[in-house]
Amino acid sequence: MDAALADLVLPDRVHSSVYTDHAIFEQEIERIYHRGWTFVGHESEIPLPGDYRTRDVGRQPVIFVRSSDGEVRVLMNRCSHRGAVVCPYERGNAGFFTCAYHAWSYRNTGSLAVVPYDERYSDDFDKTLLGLRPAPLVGRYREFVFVCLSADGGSFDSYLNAGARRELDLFTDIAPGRRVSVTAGTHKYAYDGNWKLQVENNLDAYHFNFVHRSFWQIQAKRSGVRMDALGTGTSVGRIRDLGNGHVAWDYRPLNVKVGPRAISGDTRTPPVQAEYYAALIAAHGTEKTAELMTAAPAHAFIFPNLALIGSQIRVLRPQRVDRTEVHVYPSLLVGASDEVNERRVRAHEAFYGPAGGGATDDFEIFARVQKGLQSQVDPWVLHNRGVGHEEIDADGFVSAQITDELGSRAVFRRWRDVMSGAS
Amino acid sequence: MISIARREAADFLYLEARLADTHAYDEWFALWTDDALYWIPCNDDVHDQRLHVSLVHEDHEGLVDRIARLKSGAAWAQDPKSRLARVVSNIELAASDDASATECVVHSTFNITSSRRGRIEVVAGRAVHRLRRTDDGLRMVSKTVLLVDNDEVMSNLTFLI
Repeated sequence: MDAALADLVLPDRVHSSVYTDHAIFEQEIERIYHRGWTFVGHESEIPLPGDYRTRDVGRQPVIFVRSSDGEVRVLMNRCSHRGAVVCPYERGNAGFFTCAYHAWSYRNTGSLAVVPYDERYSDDFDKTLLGLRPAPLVGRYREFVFVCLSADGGSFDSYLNAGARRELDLFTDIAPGRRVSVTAGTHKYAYDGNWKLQVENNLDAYHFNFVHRSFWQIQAKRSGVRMDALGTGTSVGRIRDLGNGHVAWDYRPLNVKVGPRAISGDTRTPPVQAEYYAALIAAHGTEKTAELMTAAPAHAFIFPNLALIGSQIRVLRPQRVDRTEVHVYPSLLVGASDEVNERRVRAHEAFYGPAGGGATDDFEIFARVQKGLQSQVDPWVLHNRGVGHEEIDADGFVSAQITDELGSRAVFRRWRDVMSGAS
Repeated sequence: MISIARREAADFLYLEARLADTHAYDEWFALWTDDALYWIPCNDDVHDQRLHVSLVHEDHEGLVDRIARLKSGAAWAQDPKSRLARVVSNIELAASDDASATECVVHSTFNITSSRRGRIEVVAGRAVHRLRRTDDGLRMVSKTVLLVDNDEVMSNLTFLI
């Protein structure tokens, strides 16, 4: 166990070097991203045989592909010959991936099909051993695909625990067709700060009324909807620790009080929800629909790189200790009308994206935090809000008032275990 | 016959550029018609506007909110504001499909240099304006902005583009 790293995370505070130290960042990439489970993509992104997306897992390039046999695979994007990426594009459809260097050509299953001029290789040259390397471990749940680039990264079932699966279920089941379609494009942006600043922020209801004042005040004036009710010190919303560094908000007490908010965001026009509810009831029945509408929307973080925020799948891509890319995929509800889905897209882009009115302000704050953390007279960062006021909720999870910093404490406890070798 | 002259359209684009560069939010907003559509597509220059996410897809109401936010004193992404200077060029008038010729479509190319916190960034692309002659002069009915990097990782685009 790496005691020096473990000492940087105390139960109620974190040392600023975990956000600013280059060597620690390199260890995070290795221990968290290269040896552990991470989210890589959603199967609806690649519906047809040959459809692919290229992604980075930590720093390692992979191809997330639906092969001609219909199987979803994660292949290392590296020619078995001299190492060039065999697919330089971000997305597309291909039966073969052909390396541009010496034209070694691989089927979209990964197997090596063609090696030009192969008479110059010795008799024991075996193409069947030289396919694109598959990711050692792949796990799938509700079309969410996770990958682990180390064969001893632990089982998928223990990584994606029951609490995390519940959140993927909630995110998906509010579609009348019980599937979401991740086909609405991607907002890709970057900020000048450590990746964990976005992690904490995903779970931080406390900041909303201050950082996003310009947004919610305008919404309140336009529609009367008080988005600020969520993040006050007397809000009845809850946050809960799902284990393994996974955390979720629990909207149920708030939704019971103020009404369901499954189609969140666009408060400018009369709701189109009646038709949507009817479709949900047809799909799920009245009882299950009521349960979903009381719990929705999903708002969860799945350690280390996936967040579900309302309609959105958010993926973190750490670049440097002080530079982070965020890729955001608004999802569409299968079985809902185009009008409902358009509403989701419009509401999403009003707040998110590089030109949106919400997330851009978060990024400015992250840059200010990253700058402030250079001050070392007192190097500790406080995550102590609500310490001692945790409760065990009816589902057995450790739970707290929604503005308490339970979420970041849960994430950093997991971080400490993974980074110090305790888990 | 196009009754809006090239010079008149060019002058309008230069005015719009200056108002955007100087964060003259109300004056810039006053250039729009009530049936406005401000569109900056994302990931590609052409996509289904309804079911594909854009960088900006705003009608008149959305523009009201954008301007109110920028003026709120709490738009942190523009605190401090980006310093901006843009060049608008390659202006071409397309033939109007409006028989009354009160509207015209203008293609242009732009290059915005922004400076914020010691970092210089470039935002560049092509723009397509639909202009309408009104009693108050030319106004924007729509503006579509095709950023050269709309499928790349982007940074702060919270100023007026």
